[in-house]
Amino acid sequence: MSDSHTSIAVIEARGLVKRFPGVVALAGMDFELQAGEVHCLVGENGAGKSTLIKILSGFYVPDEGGVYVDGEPMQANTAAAKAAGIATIHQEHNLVPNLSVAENILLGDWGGKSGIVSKQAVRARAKSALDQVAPGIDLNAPAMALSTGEGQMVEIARAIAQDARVVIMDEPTTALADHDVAKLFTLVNDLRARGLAILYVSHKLEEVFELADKITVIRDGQTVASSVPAAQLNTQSVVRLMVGDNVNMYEHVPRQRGEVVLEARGLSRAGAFADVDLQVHAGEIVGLAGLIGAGRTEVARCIYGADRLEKGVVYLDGKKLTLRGARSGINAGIALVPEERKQQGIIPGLSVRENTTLSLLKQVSHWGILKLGIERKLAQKYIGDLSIKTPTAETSIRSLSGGNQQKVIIARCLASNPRVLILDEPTKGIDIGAKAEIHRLIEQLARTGVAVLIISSELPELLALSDRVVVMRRGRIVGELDRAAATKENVMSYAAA
Amino acid sequence: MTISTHLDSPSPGSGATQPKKRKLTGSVAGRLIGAQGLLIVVLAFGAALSFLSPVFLSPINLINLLYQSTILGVFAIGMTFVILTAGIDVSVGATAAVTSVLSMGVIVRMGMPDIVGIFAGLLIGIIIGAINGLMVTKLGISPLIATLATLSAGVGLAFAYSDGGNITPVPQILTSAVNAKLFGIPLLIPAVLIIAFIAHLGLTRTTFGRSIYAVGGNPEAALLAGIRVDRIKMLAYVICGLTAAIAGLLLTGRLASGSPRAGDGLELTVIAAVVIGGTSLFGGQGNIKGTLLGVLLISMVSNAVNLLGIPSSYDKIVQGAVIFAAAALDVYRYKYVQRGLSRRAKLAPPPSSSASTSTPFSPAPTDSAASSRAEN
Ligand SMILES: Nc1ncnc2c1ncn2[C@@H]1O[C@H](COP(=O)(O)OP(=O)(O)OP(=O)(O)O)[C@@H](O)[C@H]1O
Ligand SMILES: [Mg+2]
Repeated sequence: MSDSHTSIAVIEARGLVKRFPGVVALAGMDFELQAGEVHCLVGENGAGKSTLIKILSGFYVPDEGGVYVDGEPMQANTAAAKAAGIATIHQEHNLVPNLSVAENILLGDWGGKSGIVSKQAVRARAKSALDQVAPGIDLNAPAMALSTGEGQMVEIARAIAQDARVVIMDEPTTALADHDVAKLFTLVNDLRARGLAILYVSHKLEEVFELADKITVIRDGQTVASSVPAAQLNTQSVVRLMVGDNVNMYEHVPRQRGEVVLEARGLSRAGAFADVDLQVHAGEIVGLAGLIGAGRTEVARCIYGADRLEKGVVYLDGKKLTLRGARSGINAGIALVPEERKQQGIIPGLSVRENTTLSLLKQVSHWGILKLGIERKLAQKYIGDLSIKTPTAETSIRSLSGGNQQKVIIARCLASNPRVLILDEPTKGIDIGAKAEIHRLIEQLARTGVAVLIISSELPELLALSDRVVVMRRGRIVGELDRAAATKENVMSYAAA
Repeated sequence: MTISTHLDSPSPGSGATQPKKRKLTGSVAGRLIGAQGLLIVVLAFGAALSFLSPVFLSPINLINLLYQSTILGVFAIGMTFVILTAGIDVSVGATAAVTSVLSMGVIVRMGMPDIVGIFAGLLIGIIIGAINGLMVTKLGISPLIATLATLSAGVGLAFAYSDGGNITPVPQILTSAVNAKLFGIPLLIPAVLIIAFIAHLGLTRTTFGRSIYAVGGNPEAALLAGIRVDRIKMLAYVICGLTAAIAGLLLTGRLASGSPRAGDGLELTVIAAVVIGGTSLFGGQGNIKGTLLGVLLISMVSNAVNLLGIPSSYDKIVQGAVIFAAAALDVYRYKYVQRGLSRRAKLAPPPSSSASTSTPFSPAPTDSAASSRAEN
């Protein structure tokens, strides 16, 4: 769109090499970003996107190569990156929770050489930045009171207040509700119009094609398509570039539906949900739809036993369950892929193998003694089945890319051979190829008679997978649609009314 | 939670222009703070000592050094379990004192058989550990406060029961457990190594050990993965209480009396040994091997003070310095790991990122801060 008036790169990376023990994250990568463009970076999980971003924002020092700003080499530290006008918006909230919005916007930059923070000056500067982004947000509110979407707006305001010339966004929409996504896009377009350079990372290709002027595809730490105008590409060609092959997209195949496996009656928990009735049959995939905050996660956690039900009963194969703690859910044959991989999923100090077998320590041990051989085999099997990209099963899970960590958590749930599998946002941050794999896996599992309950804020995913969609709104079930009737419009008319 | 981007101060020398130098510092630092690093420190310290004092390398002194390490080692093995769960137990010294006077009371005052007294002592350690565990898990009291309470109550109980005096005579079984030698080597040394080996297997080869790491590494995820977090923590405190009781009995043998002063003030030394040994106060990281090396290093400090004729009151000061170094090392190591082995760790630590300002005993920020950097 704006190629005409810019041709000098604002920021450029040349020959970047970054190695980690056992992996080459970037293998001689070149990249350039120009003013007034939205440049989308796509690639499989573990391709090196986040590593590139961390180098551009001065957080990592490359082993080889360097970053250049306006043709000048940039020092490899975060202060230099900031001075060069590079602002990075990470996937999660990066705000200091108990500081006000205004203070967050000018974080570390409160002015006043004397070290005294002038409240008024702070407010004035913060206000002008916030007004350009989201005038509705209260400057005095503590950051912890903000929704994810609002938090992101504040971070963008921070970038503006810093006179950033380059804004980097790493998977900004994974945690956003639909209307916040729309707001974000407007804002991104606005930033572009002011001549900022925007680097945007996402696994959602629809988003990419909606926003991108240019697209760079990376695979195994190298660019396979560099700064290609978005108009010259389409979803298929990008996917082919990403994986080096065609991806067989998931296709729904009708399945035999068996007896009711999971039945919930009259579930209630104050402040979260009320009177929830739910049935999932053997071999059935039920999608739980609703807006963020509708109470889906809470229902899932209660069925699993992680949270206390205040009212209601859960039956599994007709037997009433006594749910007290996640252990009881697992013992009954329920598995849950939790919503937040970092807080609720991974154990950072343990290896891929140890993380995989965490829910089935009983099965991989005898009288409390671990059978490491069996553990290893199991981990290896899932590394293969789910194409988990890791140097070995003994690698610390912490050093895996986000999407691959998610796969390990899914492996943990599959490994426990559940009767009921509950997945809460299972493909958050997962690349398109892996997503298709996971969808096929869920499908196969259902085929073997597992009852599957899936929560996803990505409606297309939910609709593609589900045999039946149950819609929640404000803690109540407001509608149920079978596969034929479950269209985006129908679901939204229930969810958002 | 990461705010480093905006708070990092410029760090001279971290520019892209000096990659060679950085690599070097990075990898040296990397090795120094790893497990081998400690071994290197211990060996280097030993080498220095052998220059300063000709006696140091004599077999008698070396055996003595190991012998002096044994009781501290027993304490530290149990403490490792607790610290791995991101907890702490400052009541171990008091537990040893209570064990010492009560078990001797059972034997001397009540006239029970020796073995009954010994088992009573062990049971007391288990009970105190269980009380600590219950306070931490069921009542949600912070580990430091909870065990401080037992520390205080324990010391009081030990003094009240013994009227502040010593209870004698100590049965021969206890004195010989401490003093028995074979070929000039105190049997206590291999005995403690065996305990350490069992603990090592427990941590690395059992479901319990795996759960300890999971609970310390990310309690919320552990809970959702079906681990009974409270039970695991309870067990860790019970083990710590039990080892403190064993140490208390050994101290009784060594002091040749049931003393309310047995184990007095040892808790800090024990914690220091564990942390020096590489077990993180943040939980989820560490092992028994490191703990043994930490114990050895602390004993070497005392040994050095002795050999070099430094007044023994300086012992505490030196120890203080070592503890400080250990704690600083822990914070440093934590940041280093958190940055995913980034070579930047040494050069530009974020001065006030949320991770460094959060309390060391709360695991939640640990995880989110670590991961928001490591991911996406
Ligand atoms: N701190 C680290 N230590 C060790 N290995 C790492 C570290 N960070 C990344 N890696 C490895 O480098 C490679 C690239 O990771 P990166 O996070 O850049 O991928 P990504 O493209 O962002 O993937 P995703 O889409 O899953 O977020 C991966 O193989 C990953 O395992
Ligand atoms: Mg990433």
